[in-house]
Amino acid sequence: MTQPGEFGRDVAPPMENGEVVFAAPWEGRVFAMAIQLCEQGHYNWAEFQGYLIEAVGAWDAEHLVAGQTREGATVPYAYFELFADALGRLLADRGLVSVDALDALLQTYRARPHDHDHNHGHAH
Amino acid sequence: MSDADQALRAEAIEALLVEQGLITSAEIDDVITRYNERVGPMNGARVVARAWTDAQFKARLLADGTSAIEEFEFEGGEVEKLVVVENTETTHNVVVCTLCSCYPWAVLGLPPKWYKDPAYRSRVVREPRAVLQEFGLAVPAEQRVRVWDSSAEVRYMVLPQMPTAWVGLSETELATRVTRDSMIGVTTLADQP
Repeated sequence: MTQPGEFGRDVAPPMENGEVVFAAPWEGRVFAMAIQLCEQGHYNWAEFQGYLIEAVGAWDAEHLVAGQTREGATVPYAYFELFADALGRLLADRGLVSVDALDALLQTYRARPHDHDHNHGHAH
Repeated sequence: MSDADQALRAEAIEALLVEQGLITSAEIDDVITRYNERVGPMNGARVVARAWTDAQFKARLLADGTSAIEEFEFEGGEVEKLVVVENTETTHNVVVCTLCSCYPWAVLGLPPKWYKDPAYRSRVVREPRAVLQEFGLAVPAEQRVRVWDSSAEVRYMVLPQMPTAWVGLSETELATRVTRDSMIGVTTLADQP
């Protein structure tokens, strides 16, 4: 069975030196949330992979012409945005995070003043 | 969504999960740490598990490690020349880099802190049995200890002995049981459940 944190080659995260590369702290946090909730039994990893494959497939279909690689696409391939999309959909489908609650909270966050001493989505 | 908005969305998902008691922020921190320590060694563990279950692969691996692991198409980069050394009843192998911290990272991930420690690097060559003892490994007197000094050109990995209790397990199951330290050679899998 697929273990949490394993990926098919086609939907693997960016790696360097044997480690997953996170370009921003939030990327690491969505990645870890997906693994942790899976390990707690809210879904199995193959189900999450299914959502990820769907999100990546939709991006490919929208941005790649035949024979083009993701590296060669004009729109940058932002792996963790797709990863977060997949996680958000799975959590909504499972009733773990409602779309409405997420939208409402996101609106609140967006309304915060920019000099507000806010949490950037990681522990300080 | 802008990148700032992506960060806000991640923050909002986390806040909602925490609020519902489904996850804690500390658990998220732990996963990040654990994943980074596990993903690298997992590649090596798969190589070991295949060698244990496929005699022809094992022969290829011991003859030419670099070519043999090409079958796995590992993410995360190429290995320089990889030499795999097999532990047997008569020989125990351990890997070090006396000059710096050369390490087969494509199969084992990032080296543990102690691997870069000057004390490990110098002492394991002079008194390997004493150093292994400190890792909790008592090598029997009749078993020879060979120390392999890595370099920029050649990286070593140990093929540990499979515990007899594991006979009959699948390659996938075996791969989950192989530890990083057993592939460096500072432990064996003898005491593993």
